[in-house]
Amino acid sequence: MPRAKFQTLTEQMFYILLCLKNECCGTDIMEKIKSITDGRIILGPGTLYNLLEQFVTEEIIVETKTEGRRRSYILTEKGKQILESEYNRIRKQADDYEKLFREEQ
Amino acid sequence: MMEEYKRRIELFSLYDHTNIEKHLEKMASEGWMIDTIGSTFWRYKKIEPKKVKFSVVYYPKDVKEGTTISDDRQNFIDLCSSGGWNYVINSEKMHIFSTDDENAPPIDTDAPIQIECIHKFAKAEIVYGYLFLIFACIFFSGFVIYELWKEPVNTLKDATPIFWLTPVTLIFSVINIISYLNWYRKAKSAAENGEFTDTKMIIRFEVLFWFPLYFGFGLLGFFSFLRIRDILLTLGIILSGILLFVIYKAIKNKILKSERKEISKIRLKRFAAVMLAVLWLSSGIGTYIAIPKPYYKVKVKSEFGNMYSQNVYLDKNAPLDISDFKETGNKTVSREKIFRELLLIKETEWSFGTVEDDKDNDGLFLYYSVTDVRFTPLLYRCKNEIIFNHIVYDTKEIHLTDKFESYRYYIDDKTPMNSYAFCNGNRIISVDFSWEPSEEELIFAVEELLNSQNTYAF
Repeated sequence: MPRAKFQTLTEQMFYILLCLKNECCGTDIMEKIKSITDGRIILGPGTLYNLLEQFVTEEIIVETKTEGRRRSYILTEKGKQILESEYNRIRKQADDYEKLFREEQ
Repeated sequence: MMEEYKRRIELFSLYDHTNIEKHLEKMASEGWMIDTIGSTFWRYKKIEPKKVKFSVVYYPKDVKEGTTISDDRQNFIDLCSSGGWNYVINSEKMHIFSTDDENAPPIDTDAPIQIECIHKFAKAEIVYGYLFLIFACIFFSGFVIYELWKEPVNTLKDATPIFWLTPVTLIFSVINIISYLNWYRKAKSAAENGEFTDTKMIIRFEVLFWFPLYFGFGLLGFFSFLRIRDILLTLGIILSGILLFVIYKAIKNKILKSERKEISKIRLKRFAAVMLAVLWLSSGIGTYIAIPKPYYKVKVKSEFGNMYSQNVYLDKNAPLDISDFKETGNKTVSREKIFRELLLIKETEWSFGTVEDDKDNDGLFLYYSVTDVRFTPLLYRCKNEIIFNHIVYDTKEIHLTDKFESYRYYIDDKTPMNSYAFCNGNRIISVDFSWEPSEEELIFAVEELLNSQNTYAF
């Protein structure tokens, strides 16, 4: 189920939502992710298209405008909460890692 | 410069993106770029041989508008273009992209999403299709078995046995469905760990059986009225045509390597056109000769009162004629003969009737059929169909039983008809008279028919 799927995000999902903090179109998302992650994360256009469609269906993002065939999107409140919750989860993981290794040191 | 195309039969399952990509890359390296995709025939366009990378992806939404590219789909294509992939062609939801950039990032970078799209596509295009095919095969096979049991003569003398090919189709369809579901199970499990799984080559062999099914049904339907010799003759003509075509292709390939390409091309095309014309003409003449021609036409009044035109044949070789029994005087006698022959059964039906132009046709008639069963185990079922499924009694009173089985048909238990059936060896004979035949007439008819040649010839 899509809802269960988005309870935790894959790296690709996380960065797409991150880019959509500000209004952005598909092509810009691919470039932004490449730039933010220094090319570490490669997002295929087919995967991006599918994820954008699913995010819109789940009201995680919303389509803001269409210029020709160029569509722009932005995060919704729900999307912001999901992104924040994912950030907290990753943060917690990092904290746990550091706590464990500091104790050993 | 004219564009050059070639068509190939491709038996890929459409979900088999791994092998389709490899195949298209190989074709492009040999100078052929995919141009159109059909269910079986794919067309390629001549290009300069080059190294091209292909990606076969499955559009996730429904494609209802046929070949028109919707805004949504165009958005998908645009997104792929901005990722460095050029749209080449699509077949419904299956989209093919290509790129010259060897380092272009793949279109699908998320394994679960890719599997989801492929499965959505496969369910609609492949699995349901095969399930329908399996259902159709079971239905047709059951139908043939039932018909064979009930009416072996009718089933075996015409084109219906072509449906025997359906079990073969059934086997391949089941293999293909199982192979796909097996791949899907493994790929889904691997995708949970973020791994992509290559598809395995599953050839749609059943396509090779659907061709004979479609064409064979039509051809056999036509040929079931002819002799096996005519069928072989026609097949020979077709095979000669194929052989000539192969020779033409071989010569073409050889000559085209020479310098005078254009002139050779024109000459070869002319040669091919003449060859085809000769082939069509000869098969046309062959068919014309093979089909019996009406001797003349007469106007006949039907039981509903309307007049219609009837072909009247003169069968000089008919084993029996009305004139062998009755004086027909100046009356016109229509003679019709239908001959059907397949491997297991051959049957000839003759019907004779006096025809009176523009008047009620209540004259004499004689009908008889001779059925030869070549496969003895079928004999009893054939007798059932022709004889025992009707009300019949042994005709002991005419003292024929010593030589062969003889029966008389009845309307009910007490009302006899002027219709008789006889069996000797593997031959079954049925005769209808419009008058009550004498014992001598009956014996004469039976002896003539049991010794007659059951052939197509007039």
